[in-house]
Amino acid sequence: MRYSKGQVSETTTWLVATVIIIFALLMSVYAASTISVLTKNVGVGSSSEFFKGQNEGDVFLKESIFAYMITKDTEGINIYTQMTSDGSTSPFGQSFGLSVFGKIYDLSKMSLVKINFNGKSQVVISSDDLVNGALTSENVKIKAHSFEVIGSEK
Amino acid sequence: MKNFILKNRRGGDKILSMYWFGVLFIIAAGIFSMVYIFYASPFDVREIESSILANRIAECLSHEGKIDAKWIISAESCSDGNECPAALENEIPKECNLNFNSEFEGQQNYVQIDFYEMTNFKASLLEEKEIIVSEPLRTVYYGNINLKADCNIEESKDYKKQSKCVLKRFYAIDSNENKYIVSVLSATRKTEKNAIL
Repeated sequence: MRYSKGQVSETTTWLVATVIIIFALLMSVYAASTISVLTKNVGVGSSSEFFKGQNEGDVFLKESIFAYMITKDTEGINIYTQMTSDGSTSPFGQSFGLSVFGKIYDLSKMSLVKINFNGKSQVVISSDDLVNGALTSENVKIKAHSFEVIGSEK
Repeated sequence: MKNFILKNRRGGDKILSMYWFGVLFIIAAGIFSMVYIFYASPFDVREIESSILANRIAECLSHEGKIDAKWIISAESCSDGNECPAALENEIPKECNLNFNSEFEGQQNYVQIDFYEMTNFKASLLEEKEIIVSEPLRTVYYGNINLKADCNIEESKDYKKQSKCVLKRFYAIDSNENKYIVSVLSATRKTEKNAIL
């Protein structure tokens, strides 16, 4: 009887320790399953950095910008020539840019699409629910002039 | 008295050793289950595969913004109401140097290319889903057409075992300065390797 209090105290300590160990392990197992789900679904958005590293970029946007640059206005001068000679993008280039880059994106997936002409932004698509999703951007720099398309997914 | 204490301590040590073995077993089982859970499911790279396939198709169709004449000539002949020759469907792997074979039985990919006239192209949102109102000038496809149904389902709900799809568009012009919006749909199945062990 003289030793019973000490034994109960010791047993309680080990019991609590066991419960803590089991709890910590269960938490780790739960974390492992969550991390597994999150990291093993290698989507396009989550691995966009991989594509950037490979200089892949957005092929679709790149092709669209190439086509945009060689598109001619009614006088037969293409946007690239206008950019290099005029020093700024012509009204045709700006309005046509808004038309083209408003059509190549899936409206349901984009929250914001902007075009930058020499640092001056023009919004092409803007949805009510602006969420900072994955960013896609491509730019062209000709002498002192720059043209950039930036898209933000929902 | 001295003997009693010694005997008692020995008993306690034995129980403690049993307990330690129990704890060791619990920790080992925990680590085993953590590793098993993490490595039990395979990496799902189908979305990336679909995206890479779509990119290769886009690079094949358009060279620095210009669509190759062979695609446009076909598009024009189809837009006049003429039926597209069946052989055109086989142009995608041949012209784009793509190999659609896989270790699984049957076609595991589907590619569909829609050519739209840029000036008439119109898309609108209906219940947060984009619907292309315009009719394509021409549609070319290759692969397992059954996978296309998965892409339609994916827009409303994402199931683990269904194919992963990528739908993207780009702007291109032809040598006659005609403007086009080209839509590329790419779907990849390969469920056995990516979603089930």
